[in-house]
Amino acid sequence: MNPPSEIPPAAGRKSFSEALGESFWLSAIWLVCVIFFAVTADLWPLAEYDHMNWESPAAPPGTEIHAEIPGGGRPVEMKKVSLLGTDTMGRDILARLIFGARTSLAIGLVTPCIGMVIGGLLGMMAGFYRGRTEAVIVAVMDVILAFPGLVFLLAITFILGPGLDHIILALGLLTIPAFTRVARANTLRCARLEFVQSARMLGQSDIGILVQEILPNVIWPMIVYALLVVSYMIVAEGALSFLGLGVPAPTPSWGAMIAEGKEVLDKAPHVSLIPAMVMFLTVLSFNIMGDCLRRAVHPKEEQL
Amino acid sequence: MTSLRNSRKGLWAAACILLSFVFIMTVRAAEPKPGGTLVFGTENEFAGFDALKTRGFAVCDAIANAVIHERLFEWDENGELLPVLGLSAALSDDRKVWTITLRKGVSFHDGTPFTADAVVAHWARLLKPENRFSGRDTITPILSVEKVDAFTVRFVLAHPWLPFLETLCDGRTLAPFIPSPKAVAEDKQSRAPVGTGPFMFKEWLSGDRFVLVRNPGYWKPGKPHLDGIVFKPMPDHQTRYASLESGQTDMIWTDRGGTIEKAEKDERMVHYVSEGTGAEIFILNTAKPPLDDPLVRRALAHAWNQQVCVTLSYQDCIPFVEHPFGVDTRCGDVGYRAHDYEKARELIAAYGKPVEIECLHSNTKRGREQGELLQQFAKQIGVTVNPVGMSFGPVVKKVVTGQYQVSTWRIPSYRDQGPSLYSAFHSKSRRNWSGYRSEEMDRLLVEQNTETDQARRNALLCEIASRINEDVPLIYRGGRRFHVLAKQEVKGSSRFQNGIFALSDLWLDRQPE
Repeated sequence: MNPPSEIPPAAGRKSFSEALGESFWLSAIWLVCVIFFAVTADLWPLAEYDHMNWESPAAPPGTEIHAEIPGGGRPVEMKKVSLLGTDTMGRDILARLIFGARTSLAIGLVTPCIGMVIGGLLGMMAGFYRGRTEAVIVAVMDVILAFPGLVFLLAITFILGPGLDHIILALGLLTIPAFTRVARANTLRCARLEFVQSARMLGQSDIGILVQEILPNVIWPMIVYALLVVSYMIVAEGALSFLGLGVPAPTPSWGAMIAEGKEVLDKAPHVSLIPAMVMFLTVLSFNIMGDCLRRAVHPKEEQL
Repeated sequence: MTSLRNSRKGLWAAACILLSFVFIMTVRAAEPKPGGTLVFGTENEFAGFDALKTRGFAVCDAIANAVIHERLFEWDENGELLPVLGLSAALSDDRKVWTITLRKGVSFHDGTPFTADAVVAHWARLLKPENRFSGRDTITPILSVEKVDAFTVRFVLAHPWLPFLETLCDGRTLAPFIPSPKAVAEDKQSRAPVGTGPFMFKEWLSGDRFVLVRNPGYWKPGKPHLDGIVFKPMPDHQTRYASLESGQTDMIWTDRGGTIEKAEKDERMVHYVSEGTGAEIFILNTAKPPLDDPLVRRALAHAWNQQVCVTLSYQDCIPFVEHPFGVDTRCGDVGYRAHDYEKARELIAAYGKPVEIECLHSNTKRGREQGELLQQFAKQIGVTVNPVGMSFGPVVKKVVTGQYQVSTWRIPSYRDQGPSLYSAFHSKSRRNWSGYRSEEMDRLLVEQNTETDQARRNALLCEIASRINEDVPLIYRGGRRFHVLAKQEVKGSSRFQNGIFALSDLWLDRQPE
């Protein structure tokens, strides 16, 4: 039995890629570039991201700096034009931006996955089994939602210490309730439909129904929501860096780079504005992609 | 001819009247105007005002404290002793007893009369061993404080002690300030301090404001001029400076070169500077591996570049130092370990093992910069430093309990660093948080404590500085220099010593609201 997956037919007369629109593809190109540079950062002849040029703090783009280029053994020191300038500690902004993409993308992409897997599972169970299971799951999620997120993050950082993995874990846990709600709402809707009833009457097991019938209908709304969460998480990392709870030095992150530059906004605005612009474009791209996917998956919602 | 002479006389008379008018107006303009509330932007929330309970008493706390409470004496700008609650101090022939006569007719804000009982009760509380006063090791030579009569007290010392008067006058700690015995007995002193100063405590809203109002019964006639002072904690220095620019505050405390530079270019602002003693340091835990080995500590000291730190992180708003006695003190060569990667690498090679260290720092931009700088310098000699940012409280707790390897720290700015160094480095001191143990250092610390010749004592203090540089229980990040920015209409400021700006004499040259 084929589950009536909502994706291709929902796009109506247009093909699915046409339904996504140009802005989706422009965003996708930007994100592919960011991911490409983040993955291949070690292969480029970039200055070491933690090498400080004492003589050139907050130098404007195009300034010649002493850069340490990592080689096979000891880094080679050489003069190099800093394309995007240096930060307040004299570190090359381009190198930090590219290596920082790893941190920001790791947080942005892994945290929604945590929420999606755990929250999705809980939400589907709540929507499918209803009754006491649903009551317990919904109550627990309400408690988590009511708990101040920042206090939770502070507590996790204080107990486990700072670190990229701890930030990802803490932010991931915070996304679970929202994913649970999305999954539960969609499961409730699907569970009443004929194809689920048919599967039940044909004697399919609960797990079989959940995996084969309901999951394909729940996964797309969750992916659309996850894309929106990606942007929230990238911004959240920035906010945490402002509070000094970001990733530990010398690992760069976009949020930390923006925070570092706020002191010299009047004298050297590029220190903050360049990473802010990159973060803005990335967050915007994830948002646009999420919106486009939603429109393509649920065109009727758009008409409403 | 007569008419010409008359007209000249008339001109002279008019000029004289005009000049007199200008003179009178100038004098009137310079006269303090009573009224108005001064708003002061501080770097931190106050820690409290009870000498036994308060931990982390910062410079801004000391500024507020100095207008609520008073000491027996103060130093003026010329180093002369100024009588405050004490009128005179006489030393016995054996130099072991100080007899101090007290001012009459002074009352605490709660109406309690200021007498010898208040002084004795305060000092007895600090000296009582069971009370575990955290600054006890800085006043070890004081054996007891006794009442002679209602307005005379006697400080009995274990031995002649040169820094005695400096200790009584130091505004940087709570010990010299006499609180109301009633407020102390009622356990209100920490959050609702009561003293004899020109301003009285009104309210304290945590994280928002600390409000003081004029003491109408203040013993100095005509003082203070202001109706009140409001202290507003603003940890972010940019927010603090913006509040000064926008008129939300009248004065702010700052230590950021960028804001100081901006203020100096702004003709609406006045920049006050005060040189201090002490230092911004990294404290090294000499009791824990790998920093229990002097080779590693010396290697780190040589890897560290203080000048870069002062320029890059502090934007030259603090000085470069080689000892904690302030830039005005000349000690000659104290064996400061200058930045030298080669020496550092040799020392690490001699140690022969991989070195990985955790460096605690505050969760501020300045704190992070310090951690990253140490990390960067240490990396050049093959030492891994992992900076860990925390709030101020947990950093202090970890250092005080010895659960750290390296941490950002400060030597406070005291007029006399002898007692402070004794408590920081004597092997039997409770405040020896670096865990440093050295018989030679103990001998020097005891000798400087008992030395009666000032020149010889100064030489001993310099020797202590050399010992510190030799064994490296700390690494200097820079000296202490304090900065206060004020609006032009804040007048009457005269004294800014050791970071403590005397707010008690200020007045506002503006129309009352």
